[in-house]
Amino acid sequence: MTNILSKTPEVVVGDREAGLRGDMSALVSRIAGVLPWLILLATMAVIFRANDAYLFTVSITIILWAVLASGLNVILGYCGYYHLGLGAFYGIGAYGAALLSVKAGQPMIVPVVVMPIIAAVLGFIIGPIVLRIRGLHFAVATLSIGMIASDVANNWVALTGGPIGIVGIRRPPGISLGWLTLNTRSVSGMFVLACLMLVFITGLVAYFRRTTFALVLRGIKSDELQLRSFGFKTTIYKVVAFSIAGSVAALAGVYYAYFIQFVSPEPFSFFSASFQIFVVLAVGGPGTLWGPLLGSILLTGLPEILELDPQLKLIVYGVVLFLVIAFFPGGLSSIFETVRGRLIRRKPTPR
Amino acid sequence: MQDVINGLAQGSVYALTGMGLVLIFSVVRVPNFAHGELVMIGGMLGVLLVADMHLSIVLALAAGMITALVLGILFSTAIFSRLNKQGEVGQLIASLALVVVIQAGTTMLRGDDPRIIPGAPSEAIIIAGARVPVMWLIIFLSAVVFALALEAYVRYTATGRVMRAMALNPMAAKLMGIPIGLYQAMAFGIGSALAGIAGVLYGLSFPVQASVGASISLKAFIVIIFAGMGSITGALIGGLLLGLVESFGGSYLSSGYRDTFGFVFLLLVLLFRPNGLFAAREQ
Repeated sequence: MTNILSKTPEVVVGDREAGLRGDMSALVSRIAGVLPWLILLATMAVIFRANDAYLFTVSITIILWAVLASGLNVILGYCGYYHLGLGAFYGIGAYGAALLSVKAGQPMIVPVVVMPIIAAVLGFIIGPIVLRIRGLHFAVATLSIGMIASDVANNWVALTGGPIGIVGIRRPPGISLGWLTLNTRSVSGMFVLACLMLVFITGLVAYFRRTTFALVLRGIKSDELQLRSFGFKTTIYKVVAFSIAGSVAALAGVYYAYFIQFVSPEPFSFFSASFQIFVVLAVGGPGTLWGPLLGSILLTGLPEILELDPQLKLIVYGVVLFLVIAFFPGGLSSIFETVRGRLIRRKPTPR
Repeated sequence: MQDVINGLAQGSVYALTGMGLVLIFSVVRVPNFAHGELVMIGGMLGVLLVADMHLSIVLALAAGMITALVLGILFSTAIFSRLNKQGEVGQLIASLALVVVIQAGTTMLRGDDPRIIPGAPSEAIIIAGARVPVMWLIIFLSAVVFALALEAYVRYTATGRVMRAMALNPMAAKLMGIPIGLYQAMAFGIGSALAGIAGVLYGLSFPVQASVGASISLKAFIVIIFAGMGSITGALIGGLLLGLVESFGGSYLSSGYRDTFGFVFLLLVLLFRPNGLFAAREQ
């Protein structure tokens, strides 16, 4: 848990171990790094070919939560700050898309570009205030931000439509990607769009993980004071991480608005949004690349397939959360990491 | 003046829940978000016993207190003390898991309709032109009495001294041979029992429903952050202050944004006094 380097075996092992056996394990490590991508793309292709509306909807829901959890991962998983107000940024993305689409009549590309930027700017404004504090205080402060956002969404009727929300968000007739034209009026088109979003965000995070920036964030997580004494201005790193998280959530919100074509305050409230994002990440494995997706598959996919009623679903959430915390504190992906560690080093990753 | 009274009544409930949470949070170091659920359980139990089974209010108070006490000890021994290794994060996640399970479970069993415990004294007295229901007076007085009692307990008894030692430095306390687990369960039990009593009192003057616990927990956390960690009188004052802020904001600015005022106030406190309003004086 605490050993930072053991979490990125692909870099460390590849560079350090020379010789024949080193080459072998570097190869295995390379394959182990690419394999999840292949599985992901293959699964996406299979789902696309199956062409089943229900399967599409479930997959889109899974992807949406995975993207949100990936956003949270940046600030929580890497940096160790318990952001419990991501729902606010998710809601800002969705409401922004709804307003731009319904009231301003803008095409879909406008909110897709504008809303993440607005969320990032907001992150830069709020971040320096709330990131002065950490631990429980930070959690409660961000929770408050989420609650304030919910209150505004419910009460600023002129802008948000209050509890009734905003209806009539129109999807564009089709999106041309050069080689492929998506029919976004159909679920399959929206599914492809969701897949693109997931691949884009996960790819970005995969790149981000290897940057020095992410290393500094991990440093902040384990010992901020020491990092400061090394001369790092940690606040700016934290603020950027906070903004990235908000930005990703806003993008997911824009997608949500176009997918559901209706926004109201409820889906962005604490227990419907921020809490579930947190649960998905905690169950999947904070600080890992594939944790968000794994957590989302388990927590969004399973109740959907089992067709539980909403209350029972929450209970299942709670119980799964307990079990994961008690038995796999590193999240689901810690199981995979151990297996991978075994493949590479022929012994489990030291903890 | 009526706003002051309304604020103090609501604030007394925040104070009662806040001070229990202060005890738990400073002694056991568990960010127990399930604290408000015990308030909710106390209130719902009161509704069940008094409204549906026609038992007396005193009995409901006792039942609420004992149920919360037992649940609190159970939380401590069966859940939180087993998650020690996972640190504050694991505890936070576990307590949030408890919140959803309790809330969803109660909704399944009892529905989510707001109900009030009947049979509270309905008289009101007039103080300086404001109408003060006797029940509110009782809530306010019990908040003050419990705060003083808890403060005295922590300050002047042997067990209280142990708890203060644990709050100050858990490692050193353990090294001194203090049975940590026992005292943690005790602090959890006392704090939770207060939440149970607060729940029944709350239900006697405000409607309770299954989903009310989460917002009460949140208010309690706001109160202890206001007050600075580990200060019981701070929790009393902080709770009353939060009630007043909400009441005045609600009636002078906009009633829809009632909760927002509390949160904005919290953010301001965190901005200017990150250690809490009363922290400097306490240390």
